[in-house]
Amino acid sequence: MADDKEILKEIWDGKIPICFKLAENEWRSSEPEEIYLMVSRQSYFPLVLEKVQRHFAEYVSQTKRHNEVWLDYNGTNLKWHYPIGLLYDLYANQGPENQSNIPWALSVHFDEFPGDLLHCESKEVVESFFLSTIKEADALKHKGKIINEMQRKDHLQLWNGVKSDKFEQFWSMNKKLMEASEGEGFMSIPFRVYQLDKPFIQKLFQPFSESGKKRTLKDLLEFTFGETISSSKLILIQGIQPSMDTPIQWLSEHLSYPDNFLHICVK
Amino acid sequence: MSASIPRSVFNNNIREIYSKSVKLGDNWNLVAFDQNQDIFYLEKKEQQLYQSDIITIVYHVIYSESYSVPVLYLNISKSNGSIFKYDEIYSFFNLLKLDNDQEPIFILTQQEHPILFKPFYFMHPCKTSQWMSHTKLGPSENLNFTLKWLSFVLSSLYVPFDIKYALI
Repeated sequence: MADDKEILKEIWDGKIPICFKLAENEWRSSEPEEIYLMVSRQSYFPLVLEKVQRHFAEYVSQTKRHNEVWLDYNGTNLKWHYPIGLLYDLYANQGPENQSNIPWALSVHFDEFPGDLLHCESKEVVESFFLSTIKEADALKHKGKIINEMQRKDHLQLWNGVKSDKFEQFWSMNKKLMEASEGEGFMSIPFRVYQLDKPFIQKLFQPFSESGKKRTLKDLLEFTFGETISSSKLILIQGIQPSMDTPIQWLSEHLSYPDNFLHICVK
Repeated sequence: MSASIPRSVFNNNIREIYSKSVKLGDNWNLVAFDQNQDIFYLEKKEQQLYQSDIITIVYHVIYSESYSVPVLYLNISKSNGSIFKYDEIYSFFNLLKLDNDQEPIFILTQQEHPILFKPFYFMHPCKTSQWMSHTKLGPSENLNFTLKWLSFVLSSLYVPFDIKYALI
């Protein structure tokens, strides 16, 4: 694992340039200027929207100023509880050869909070959601043993690492959650497969076959869809198109988001 | 020591709860979501007058593959269709949010429903297994794990649950 630190750091440092615009029907007298931010793939929108909300608040009607803000991209409402990198890969990333969606242009709304989004009234809600996901991941990997043996301060260290974008702080604790016995790996790989306009798929999948062979990304996708996946599909994890022969245990240890799930986009 | 059950036991458990519910005149329904994959869950819908509005409360008992235990999901909607927010749901159930020094894993957290993919509140299952192990009720014993668990979680929300479920 030690040799792989450069890879972990590179993944952690993945960023997306975003252009935030106030939704057209929401400003009153004059159209405010857009805001451009460089945002970490590993983060969540409620953690970065404070500045954006403050900037646009004076342009919307007084009664709506303190509403919960939400975002859409070309008419798709963005779920704040998905990591930002996953949302970009799913809706806007067209592969490494096509950069036409950079910067990523998002509309900011103060009004008419949509029924299909989770409420997020405070950062504590994000923390609660993050910890509950990382607990589920450890339930899959180690029957929850490692996360439940940690103390409150250890959980806080993980969360603060994400919140403040501190690689060392996060990974010095997260490496415990990534421990796996040689030749066995995790009990199950925490993963979800996302496609446009469909619910995500999550199943139980072991990283090694019964004969002890390493299972690969190809094996996982075949297992998920019940058939070989067309080579014309774009497969993205953390904005990267990994080789289909990459062992899934390695991907889980290195390309998971901070919530310890491999979020795989297939489009 | 922890206690959990496989999906097949859960499915048998909820079938039994459903047939007891029919006998007792209660309103639990058995929903077959995907028979090929053996995905079933229990659903109960109730309407009541609350703050001069007719509200609808929905409970779902769903199997979590990650934790191998049942999980309670619920939602409350107003007559105009909007869903209760955190403060409304907490005051409805008379729940207090946890102290600052405790982990903000709320008793009820809003999440995407694992089958319907809509916002629902759920009771976090990370302690369920530990909790059930204290009851000395292992999966091997000939008792309904999901029924016993349901009586616990409903009582923690002060939702009445007919004691006759244990008797018939």
